[in-house]
Amino acid sequence: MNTLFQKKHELWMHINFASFSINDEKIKSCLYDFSQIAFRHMKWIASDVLAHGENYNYDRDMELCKQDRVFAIIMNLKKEIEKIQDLYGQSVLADRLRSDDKYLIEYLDEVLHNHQNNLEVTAFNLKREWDDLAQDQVDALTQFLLAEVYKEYEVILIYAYMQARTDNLTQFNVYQDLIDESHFHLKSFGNMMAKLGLLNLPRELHEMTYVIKDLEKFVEDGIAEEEAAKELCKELSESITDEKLSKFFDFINFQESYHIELMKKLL
Amino acid sequence: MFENVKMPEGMNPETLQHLMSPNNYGKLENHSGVGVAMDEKSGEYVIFYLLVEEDLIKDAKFTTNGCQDTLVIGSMFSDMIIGNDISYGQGAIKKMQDKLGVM
Repeated sequence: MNTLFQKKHELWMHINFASFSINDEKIKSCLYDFSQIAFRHMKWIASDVLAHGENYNYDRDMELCKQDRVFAIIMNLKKEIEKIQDLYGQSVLADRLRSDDKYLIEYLDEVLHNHQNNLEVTAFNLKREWDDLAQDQVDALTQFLLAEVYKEYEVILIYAYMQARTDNLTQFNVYQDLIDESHFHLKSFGNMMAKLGLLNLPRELHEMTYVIKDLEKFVEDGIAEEEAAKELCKELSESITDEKLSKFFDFINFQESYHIELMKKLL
Repeated sequence: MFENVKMPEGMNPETLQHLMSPNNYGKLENHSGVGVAMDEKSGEYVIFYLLVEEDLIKDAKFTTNGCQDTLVIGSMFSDMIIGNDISYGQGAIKKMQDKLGVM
């Protein structure tokens, strides 16, 4: 299987979860943008691998950098970016990847240059506190987020896998919409996990999850899952006393409804 | 770094730990046996790998696309049987049910 693809997949996750873990909104936002660029790198590498008649999978060999200071997270990120450089080889795509990484490293150095940025990281402290929520509501939120962070990660990778293998423009566009929507959900839920002090990587996917042989069955199952997610959001929205959070889950609930409509277009 | 963190009351800390970082999760490349169970209706599956040497379960791993309950059970069950013999593994189902009673 393709090592460059695997390492880019891991790097996307390193940047994405570093963004979730850092409280400073400016650094968080900037890292998130870079994580989206890294995801596009993954997409282009996948396309290149398939064009050469090879294949890739979603195996990972990585650990989340769980540190309690911003600089430790940033320095680890720098190390991960530097490690991948030798795998790029020589091509127009490789030049683009190197250029993006070089700019990101410059940004990370800029962050490291200002000691005021070295704030505490609370994303891994396991405190499970959320403003005024009672413990039973925090429990419900915890269970929801643990399940949904995995689900969003899973669907992003499944849709990306299928998008890379379709020649149908409608399907391609639907997959893109679903990927974009799921990125937003993963970002929202990932940041909430960090706020609870529970940030963790979603578990790895086995091929049986993303090598889809029966599109119709996949869409049917996907719609059933979206329905279940809608129900979970509704239950959570009703049981949570925090008005802002409750409105957020209503908003997500309506988004899930539209995902069902998008998925129907795949058939 | 977080060795001294105390879990708040409420959710079972052991369950939370299994949910966050399930033990023995992933593929076992050098397995001596593998079982696959799939719910055709929901599409959910569990793959369970075993490495057995002279009746001893040397290693066990699992993967699943299933729900949180499946994940916690897989993590606890694999913990229970690793290092034990096959007959213990067979009897572990009962112990597992006892454990699940406190979830």
